[in-house]
Amino acid sequence: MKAIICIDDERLITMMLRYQLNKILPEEDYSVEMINNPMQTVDLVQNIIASEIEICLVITDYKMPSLNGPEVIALIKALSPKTRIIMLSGQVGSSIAHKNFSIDKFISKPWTEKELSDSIKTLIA
Amino acid sequence: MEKLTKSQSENLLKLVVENNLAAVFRTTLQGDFIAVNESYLRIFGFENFDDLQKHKSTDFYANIESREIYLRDLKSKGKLTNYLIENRDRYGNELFLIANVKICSSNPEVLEGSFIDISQHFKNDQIIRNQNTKLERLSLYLEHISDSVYVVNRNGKFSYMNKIARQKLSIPINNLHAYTVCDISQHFKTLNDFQNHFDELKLLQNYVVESTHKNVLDGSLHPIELSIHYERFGEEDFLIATGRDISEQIIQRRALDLKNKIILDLNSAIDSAAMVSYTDKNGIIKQVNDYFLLHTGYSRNELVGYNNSKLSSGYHNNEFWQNFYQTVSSGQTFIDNICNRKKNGDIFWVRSLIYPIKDSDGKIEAYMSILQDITNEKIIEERNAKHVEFQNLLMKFALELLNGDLNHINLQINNALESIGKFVNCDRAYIFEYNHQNSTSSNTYEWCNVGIEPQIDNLQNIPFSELPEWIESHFKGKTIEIPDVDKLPESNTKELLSQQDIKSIIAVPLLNSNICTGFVGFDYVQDTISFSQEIVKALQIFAQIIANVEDRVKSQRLIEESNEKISKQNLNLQNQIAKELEKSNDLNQKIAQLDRYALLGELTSEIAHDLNTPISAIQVGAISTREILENLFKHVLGSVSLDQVHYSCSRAVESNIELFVGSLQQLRETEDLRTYIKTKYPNLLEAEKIIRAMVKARITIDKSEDIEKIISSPNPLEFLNVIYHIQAIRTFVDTIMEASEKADSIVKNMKFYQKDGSKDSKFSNIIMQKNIKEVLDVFNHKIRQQNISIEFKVNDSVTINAIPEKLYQLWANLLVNAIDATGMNGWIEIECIENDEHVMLSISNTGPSIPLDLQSRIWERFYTTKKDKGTGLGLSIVKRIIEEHNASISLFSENDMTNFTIQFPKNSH
Repeated sequence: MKAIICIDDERLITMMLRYQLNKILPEEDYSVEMINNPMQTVDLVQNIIASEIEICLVITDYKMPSLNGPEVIALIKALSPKTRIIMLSGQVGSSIAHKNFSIDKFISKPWTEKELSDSIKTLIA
Repeated sequence: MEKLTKSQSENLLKLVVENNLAAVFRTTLQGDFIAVNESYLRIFGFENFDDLQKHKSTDFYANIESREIYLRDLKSKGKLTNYLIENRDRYGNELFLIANVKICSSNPEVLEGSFIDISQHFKNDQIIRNQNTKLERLSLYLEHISDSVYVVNRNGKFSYMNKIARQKLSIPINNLHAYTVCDISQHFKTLNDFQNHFDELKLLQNYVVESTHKNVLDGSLHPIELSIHYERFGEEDFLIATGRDISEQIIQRRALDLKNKIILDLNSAIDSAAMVSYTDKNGIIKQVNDYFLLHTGYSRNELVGYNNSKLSSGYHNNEFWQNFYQTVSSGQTFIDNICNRKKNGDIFWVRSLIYPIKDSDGKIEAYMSILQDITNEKIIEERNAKHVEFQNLLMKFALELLNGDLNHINLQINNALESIGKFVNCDRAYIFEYNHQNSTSSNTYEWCNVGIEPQIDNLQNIPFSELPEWIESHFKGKTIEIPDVDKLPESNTKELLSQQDIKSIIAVPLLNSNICTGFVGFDYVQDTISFSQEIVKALQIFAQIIANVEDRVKSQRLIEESNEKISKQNLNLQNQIAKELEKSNDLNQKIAQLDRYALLGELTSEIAHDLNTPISAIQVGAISTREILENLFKHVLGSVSLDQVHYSCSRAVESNIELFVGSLQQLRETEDLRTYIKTKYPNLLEAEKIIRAMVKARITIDKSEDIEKIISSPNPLEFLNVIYHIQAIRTFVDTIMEASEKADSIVKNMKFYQKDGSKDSKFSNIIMQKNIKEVLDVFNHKIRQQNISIEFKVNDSVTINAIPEKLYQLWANLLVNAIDATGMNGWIEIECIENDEHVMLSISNTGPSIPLDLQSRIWERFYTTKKDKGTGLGLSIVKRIIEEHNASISLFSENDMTNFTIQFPKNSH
C-alpha cells in the first residue's frame, strides 16, 4: 500500500483527480487523499508516515492561499524526501520555471487523463 | 559715607563760602577775628568786618560754662564736628548754630570753621518755641540727619535717638525710654557697667570707637563707628553718640583678612612643593625656601648672596638667556622649562615661573622664582620623542621601499641603511643574504660611519659552517644581540667579529614566509652599547620592511613577465566586452518594452490561471460523464430492474452525496460497514465485494434503509454499480455546473479590469447597495473559501451619481485588498452612511495593519505589500477613480484593523 496526496484549493480539482487516479492505479495498492486547505498538509503527511505507509506521489497546485506550492513541496520534502512531486497548475509553465524549487513533473491545467496517467506511470512505476 | 577728596572738599567749601550758605570764620585761639564771610557778619548782626573786629568770638557765647567746654573739646581733639553751640548776636538774640571747627594745621594758634544757623527754624516754629530744653531743640535738628544719633543719660537710658537710629534698631519713638544702652550695645553687660564708665567717657571728649549695635526685634547686628562727646543739658549730664554705618568696611576688611590668609596658606603650600627664591634685580639670590635647598643640595649660605647663575647647567644657549632677561626685565612673567645643575653636578629640569616684583612706581625691585622639578617628565618626553622619530623613519622607509621605483631600489636600500645607522648611532649597518643552495652568506649592502673601514668585500660567500650558532638562531627567526663581544665564549663567531674590531652587534633575521633569507646587522666598533627593547623591536620592524622589499622585487619580476601576456589577453577581452555591451543595449531596450507589457501580461496570466481551474473541472467532468454514461448503458443497465434505476436516480438527485472521498475515510467506512453487515447479515454471500461496492457508492451505515434494500435485492453488486454510476453522473454534472459558474464569474470579474476611458462610461444615478452587491457576488467563492464573515450594512435607499463601471472597479480593488489582507477566517464590514452633503462608504477588515510609514506609499503605482499577489496598481486606480468622482478617500490602519472610507459628494454632476 502506497499513498498519493492531491493538494488544490479547488475542491472540484481534487475530486476529479481522485476519480482519475482510481482509474489509473489499482485501488487496492494506492490510497488517495485530498487536501483543499494546504495548512492541513503537515498533519496528513505525519499521519500517513506514522502508519508506515510510503507517500509515493504528491500532486499539488502552485497558487494557493495560506501556503503556496513551493512551500507545500518544501514541507513534504522535509518530512518525506523520496516523495515524487507533480505540479498541476493553471500558471503558464515558463512563468514558474525559474523559481527555485524542485518538482518532478509539471502539468498545466487543463490537463488530459493521458497526460496525468503517463506522468504517474513514469514517476512511480 | 564716602570721604571727600581734597579737591572736592575745597570746591565744596568754596561753594558754601561764596554763596553764604554758612558762616565761615577764622579766628585766633583767643577769639580774635582774622577773617569772616558775609554770612557771618549777617548772622551776628554786623554791617562790616571792622565793627566785628572790635569783638571777640568768645563774646558771643550764651553762657560761660558751655564756652569753656567748647574750647576744651576743641583743644583736646583739634576739631569738632556737628557741634551744637548756643550764641547770642550783638543784640543779645539767641542763636543756635551747628559748628564744624578745627585748629588750623599750618598754625596751631588759628581756628577755622563754619556755623550753620539753625535758629531760624526754632524762631519760626511755634512748636519749637515751646520746646523748653536744649536737648529737645537739638533733637529737632538731629532727627533727619543721615548719621545715627543717640543721647544717653548717666543711667544708661536713652533720652533721644534720631530716626535713622530708631529704624536700624527697630525702636519706636514712643517707647524709647524703655530701652537702655545694654539692649543695643555689646560693650556693656549691665547698666552698672555703663554707669561706672560714664565719667571716663565724659572726659574722653569726641572719643571715636567701633561698636556693634543690635536690632532689638530681629537681633541683627550693625557695625557702627561711634563718635561720643559729653554734653550738659540743664542739670543733667548726657553722652551724645554720633554713629556711622561701617558694615561695608567690615565686609571689605573681612575679605582682605581672608585674602591674606589665603596668601599665607598658598605660601606654605608652595613652600612644601616647589622651590621658591627671591633675587634682587641683578639676579643676586636674597632668599630661598627649604625645599630649594633640599632639592639642590646646597646650604642657604652657599646660595644667598650669590648670583643665580650658580645653578646654571650650561644646557641653554645665549639666545635662551637673552630671551629670559628680555622678558623679565620688561616686567613680564617668564614661564618655561629650564635645565639647572645641583651641587653634586646632576642636572635637573624645572618648570620655572619667574615673576618680577615692582615698587609702587612700577620699577622692578626683585624677582620671585617658583620652580617645579620636571626631570622625570623630561626623560619620558625625550624617550618618547626618540621613539616617535624612529617610527616616522620606519614609516618613511616603508613607503619608499614598498612603493618606490624598483629600478632605484639599491639606492633606496642604501639610503635607508644610512638613516637607520645614524639613528641608532652605530658604526656600520649592513644586509646579508643567505644562499640556501650553496649554504653561504654574502654581504649585499653596507653603510659605514665616518672613519670606519668597509668590510663588504671581505664578507662574500662565507660558508654557513663558519658560523653555526649564528645561522641556527637566524633560521629559528631569532634576533642575535651581542652587547659585548669580548665577553663571548671562545668561538668562530667571536673570532670573526673580533677580526672586524666589533665591540657590540645586533643582527636581525630577514624572514619571508618564515624562511630566513638573510639578516640586517648593526656593528659598534668604538664602544659597547646596550640595546633597549624599543630599539630591538624597531630594528625588527625595519628588517621586516627589508624582507618585504626583497619579496616585492622577486614578485615584481614575475609580474612583469606575466604582464605582457595579460595585456595581450586584455585587448581581446576588451573587444569582446565592447561587443557584449552593444548587445546588452539592445536587451535593455527590449526589457523596457517588456515592462510596459508586464502589467497586461500579469493580468492575463492571472485571469488565465483563474479560468484554467474551472475549465479543467469542466473538461474532466464532461469526459468522465461521457465515460460513465457509456459504461452505464453498455454494461450496467442491462442487469438491473427499472425500479432499481429509478431508486438510484431519485437517491442521487435527492441526497447531495460527495462521491469521491479520501482513502482514509473509505477505510473507516469499510470497517464500520463490515462490522454492521457481519452482525446483521452474517450469512451474506460475497460480503467483502458488496462492502467495497457500498463504500464506493458512499452507502454508509446510517443509511440502513438503503443497505437493507440493496442486500435484499437479488443482485446487490449490480444494483450498487447502478447507484454509483448514476451518482457519478450527478456529481460530474454538478461539477460542470459549478465550474461554469466560476468561469462565468471570472469573466464578469474581467469587466472590472476594463480599460479606462471606455466609450460607455457615463455618470448615472446608481443604487449603492446594488452596485456593491454585484461586485461582492463576484468574490463570493473567494469569501467562502477563506471563511470570511461579511457584515453588509448598506441601505437600499442610498443613491449616488457615478460611473457604474468605474465604481465596480473601485469596489473590486478595495474588496480584493480587504479579502487578501484579512486572510483565512477574517472579517470584513461594508458600511454606508449618508448625511445632507455626503455619502460615506467604508470598508473595514481585520488583518495586519499597514505600517504608518507605508501608508502614504500605497497609493503609488506598482507599490504592493502582497508578496505573490497583485500588480501594485489597485490603489493607484482607486485614487484616480476617486478623483474622477470628486470624492475623497481616507485610510485608517491600526491594531490589526484597516479601514478605507470614501466620501462621495451628493448632487455632483
